[in-house]
Amino acid sequence: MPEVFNWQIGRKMQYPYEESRPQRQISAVFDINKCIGCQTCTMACKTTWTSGKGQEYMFWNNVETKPWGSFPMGWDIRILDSIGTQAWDVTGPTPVSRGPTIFEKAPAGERVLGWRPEDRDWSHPNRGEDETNAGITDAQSHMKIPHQVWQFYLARICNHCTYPGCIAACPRKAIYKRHEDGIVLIDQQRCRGYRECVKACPYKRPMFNHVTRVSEKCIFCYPAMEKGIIPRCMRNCIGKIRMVGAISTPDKADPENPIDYLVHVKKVALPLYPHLGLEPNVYYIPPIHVDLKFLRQMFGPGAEAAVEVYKRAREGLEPEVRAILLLSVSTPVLLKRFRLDGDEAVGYDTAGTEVVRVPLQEKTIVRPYNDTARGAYRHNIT
Amino acid sequence: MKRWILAVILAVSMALAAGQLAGILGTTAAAETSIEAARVDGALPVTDVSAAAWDRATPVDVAISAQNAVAPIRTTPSVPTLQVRVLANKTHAAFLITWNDATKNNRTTRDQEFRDAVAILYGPADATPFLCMGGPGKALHVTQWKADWQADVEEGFRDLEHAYPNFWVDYYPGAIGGPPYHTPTSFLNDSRLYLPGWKVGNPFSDPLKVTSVEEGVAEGFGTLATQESQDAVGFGTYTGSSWKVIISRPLAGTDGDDVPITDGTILAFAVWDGASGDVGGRKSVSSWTSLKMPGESGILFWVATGLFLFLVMAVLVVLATGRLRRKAEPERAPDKKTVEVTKRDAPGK
Repeated sequence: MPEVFNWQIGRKMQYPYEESRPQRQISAVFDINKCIGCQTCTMACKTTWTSGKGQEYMFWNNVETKPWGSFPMGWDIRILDSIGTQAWDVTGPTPVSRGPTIFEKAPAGERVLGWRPEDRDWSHPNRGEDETNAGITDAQSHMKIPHQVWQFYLARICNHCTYPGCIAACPRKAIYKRHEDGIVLIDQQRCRGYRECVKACPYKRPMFNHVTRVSEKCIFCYPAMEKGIIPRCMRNCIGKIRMVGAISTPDKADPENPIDYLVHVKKVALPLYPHLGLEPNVYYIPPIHVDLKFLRQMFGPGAEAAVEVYKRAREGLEPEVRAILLLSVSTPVLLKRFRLDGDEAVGYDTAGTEVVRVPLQEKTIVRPYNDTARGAYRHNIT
Repeated sequence: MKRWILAVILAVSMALAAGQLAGILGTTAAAETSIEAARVDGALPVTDVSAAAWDRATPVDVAISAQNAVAPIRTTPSVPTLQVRVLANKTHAAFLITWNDATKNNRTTRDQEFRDAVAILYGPADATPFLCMGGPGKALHVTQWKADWQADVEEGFRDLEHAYPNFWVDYYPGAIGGPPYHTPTSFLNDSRLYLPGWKVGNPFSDPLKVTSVEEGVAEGFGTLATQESQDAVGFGTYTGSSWKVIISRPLAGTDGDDVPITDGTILAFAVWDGASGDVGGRKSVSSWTSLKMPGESGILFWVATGLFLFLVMAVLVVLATGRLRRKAEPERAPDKKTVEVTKRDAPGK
């Protein structure tokens, strides 16, 4: 089996195909701290792509409450259980995952270590919503970080991985990763509904259509992306938690690229379960109020440092991070570059044209309660 | 008298042998060195697994092993053997394939449902293709019967409401009618955009199936593609413990990649057990076996019949000669048995 380099785990790993990175890899950063679990992204996707017959429980984008929520049921616990305890070597300059990936731990005669959910596993998309990590008691609780009782929302789409489990598992090569943007697609003509991809993807993003009897998955709204417009789930995010762009490999990180800045320069955004070995291309800014043990399990050894960077950003000590987060979803246009211009964040499209300008701090204007010019009283005076 | 008895026994046994050689009469299951097709004049019994015509074909037990060459694999075969009979007329061949299966799996609506299926792989007589699925430049022709496709053809498209009778939906974009919006009648024109597999012409997604058998071509593992023209038909019956499946196709191909069925065409079989999660390469397969077509068997039939007639004639000649010899000896006194027979058989006494 060929060896490929996965920078997220800091080492080479086995993968069924040679390393073949796309010309440009689309990517996104989700700021978990700002997600309110409103499911607007879920519905934006649902009404656009999966409102057909046979897609009733198909959510290419879903938002689940952690730690208890999961869609499909137990997607994370099942794969974490079967891959076993993993160790990160943090002695060197970059952390190295020592445990086997889902490709390296594939059982004999299989391509990938996986499991296939049944219909009942898909039937409770919002199971565990708003449940906290521990029972809420009547005992007095003082506000401190991390909170004694916590939960957070995890919005999930296909990670359009650099080393997709679905591609590794499909014996028909019916799934492909586009060379121009790294979007991973299932060929609807070529798929024969084997569901090997459903079984292999640890994030459980390929889903079986009950009526067409073939598998489907998130397409990163490629028709929009081809026009420089960000996907529906991102565009409609009312919490503006999502920054869309292209990601470079760490050695080619561009500090003017918002994704590169968050992922490579500041390392505030982290991949989900990187030790599984897929090099997922959706990144998360970990929630700052959550038990670090849980965050390390979910996002790897960089979780603690990421939380610290984010706290600094909140205090105004990381203006570039703040600038990028303010530019997120402030325009439907795909941003290639950002710049801090005084106390304003500026975003540029792929052609280099300025398309958005956002103040780091909205000005506060206090208007008089009684507007004599208009002969009116104001209810909201700021 | 003993000569007559011997002659009768001889005649019967030779007639049976000649009949078997010609494929008119079946034998007990034969070894799998080759499979012999029996000739049928007129239509083949393509939907009747218990038609009398099948008795004329010699059943052959084909050994099955697990596909463990290419991942994902099966570790053990789902059945030890398939029993195969072949009939052919001037234009078509029909295969009756029987195997034991404790469960009937003919639905693929739920995430965990996989179909029972059986396939025949055809290779040209003059080449030894790469085992299993062919190779680059060595296209093999495949016909696969699928239990769920047959259910769609026989019972109408197995829709969501058949798997989940209590399911409810208010609306599907562009669909006409009301809940549960039957497929395909509620989905016309633009509403099919939301049934993408069907919209792009994937035969697996087509709710208007006309055959339970898919005709395809392969040039190696993972390359199987549905052919342009679909000429194969099939029919399967589940008996409660086994499948009896007929796959029929034209002898001559209509697609460029078709492997015509001639004397010496090589065949391999594959079987899928849906209950075990068999799908794609997770299957049980046979090795190659060659097909003997009735054209060649016909020659054997005439040779055997000629031989039979010759021997019968020889016996008759010998007997007649003996009788003539006795008639030529009138002075010899008849023995007792001859006298008794003569008395009993004599009319009017």
